[in-house]
Amino acid sequence: MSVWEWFTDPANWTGENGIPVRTWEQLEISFFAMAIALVISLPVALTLGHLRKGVFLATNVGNIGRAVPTLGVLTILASIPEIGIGNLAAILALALFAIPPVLTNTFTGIASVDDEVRDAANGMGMGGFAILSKVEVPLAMPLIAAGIRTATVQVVATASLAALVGGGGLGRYVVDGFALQDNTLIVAGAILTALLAMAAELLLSFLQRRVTPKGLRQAGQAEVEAQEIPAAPAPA
Amino acid sequence: MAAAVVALAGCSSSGDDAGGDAGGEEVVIATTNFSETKILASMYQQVLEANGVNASVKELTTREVIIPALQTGEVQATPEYLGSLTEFLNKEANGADAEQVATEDAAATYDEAVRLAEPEDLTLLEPSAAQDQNSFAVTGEFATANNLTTLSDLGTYSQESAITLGGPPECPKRTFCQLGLEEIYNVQVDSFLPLDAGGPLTIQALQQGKVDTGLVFSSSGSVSANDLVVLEDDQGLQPAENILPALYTPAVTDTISEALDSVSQALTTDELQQLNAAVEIDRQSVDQVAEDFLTEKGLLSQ
Repeated sequence: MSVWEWFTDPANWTGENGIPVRTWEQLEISFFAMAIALVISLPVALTLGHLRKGVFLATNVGNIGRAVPTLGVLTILASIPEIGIGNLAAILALALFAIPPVLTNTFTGIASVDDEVRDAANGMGMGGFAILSKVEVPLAMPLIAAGIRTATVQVVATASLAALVGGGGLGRYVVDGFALQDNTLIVAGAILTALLAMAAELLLSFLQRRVTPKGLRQAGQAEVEAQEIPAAPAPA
Repeated sequence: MAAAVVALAGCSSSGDDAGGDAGGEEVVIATTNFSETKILASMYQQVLEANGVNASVKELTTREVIIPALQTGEVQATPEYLGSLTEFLNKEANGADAEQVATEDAAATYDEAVRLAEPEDLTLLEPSAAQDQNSFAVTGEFATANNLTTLSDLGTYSQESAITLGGPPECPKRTFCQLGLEEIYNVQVDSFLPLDAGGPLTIQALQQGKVDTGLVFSSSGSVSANDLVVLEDDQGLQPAENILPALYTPAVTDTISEALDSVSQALTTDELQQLNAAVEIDRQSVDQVAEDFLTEKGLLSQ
């Protein structure tokens, strides 16, 4: 069966092993992993960034996190009886995987807001929380959103690992394909995973533009224009 | 450039032969990456060396790679499993859809295997009593609570409470697994959880109660170590999977056959379980485990 025939076979679009169910599982795993990662990393990064403390922690958690092999973590988590094999182990492993980019980007974004801007906000009578929420977060938003976007796309693409510990998701096709020596199934699973990751990338880059404050967007454009004007030949 | 390659090739082959001259032709024993076949290959090697035959072990991947290498004489010996090998040869000779000839009757299956192997330049020595079959295991607790000792018991039990089954992802489509359980034992399967072939995932799934029944290997060291009970295959779903040495026919000598036969005769399934446990659970080296066993059986003192 060719890959095209596999995709057009109605049998592959229904049931618990159908494309909609497996795609939904992949999204579910990714959603919960990201939710846990955001709940843990955003408060920490926002606080540390605002206080300009913990540079060492924020950058090193990021670097160590990148060095930890997700598959190894997944296998260890699955062997802990309280967690067990299946999607929960995958969600926790992916959450650990998603924390570094979110933490590092958010911290860097907040901590690199210009001191003069903060002083100005302070001078206008803003308290710490107001400065964070009304000045620092909006200015850091492009970086924060980029961290979340990177993490989400990585998580969506990596959620296929869940199938290795008895979980669901699109990795099911790849893992089962290997077991059945069915190359069509392997390729179909790979294509679906790639498509889903790309869809996540497109959606989130759209959202990233939307959450970037107007002022920053316009400033960005103005900069581009400002650079272009001197480059244009002066009319004779 | 070509000359250099030839010179290098000549160099390395003469290096290999240096030790081989004393013991005649070297016997290369192929093994898969499963620890059980590695233990067996190490036993074959050590017992051959003890009988003055120069032998070495080469780790290849799967039967699909090893048997063709054996047929062309690239390797000369490998530990094999009766039923699986018979079906492999059967499908090579009669096509992928050939009717199954391996049965639970070891003697009949061996005759069939020898008949299939002969024209392929393969010599199959007498099978050992030791077997490594696909088996179905439940936790000791589950077996006691529901009074299960055989797969027929499981079939009866499942009429009231359909089971959850764990095994390799191909299980629902294979006779040796879910299809056979349903057809021969009338086991009602509520759901299937794709795991691995008798590996750590299946053991964990059983212990964590994610599945009631899981596919394991009868000789696996982790079965008894984890308080699992193998349900008896009382209606003969699984073909006999006795261990036997497969050899490249032109390389066979009496010394080699007798040496390998002595290993087959010494081995039982229980002992194989202990050997596997020593490697997989106690993390002893394959060679040491093989040597200890052969020494205990007096097979290294020729």
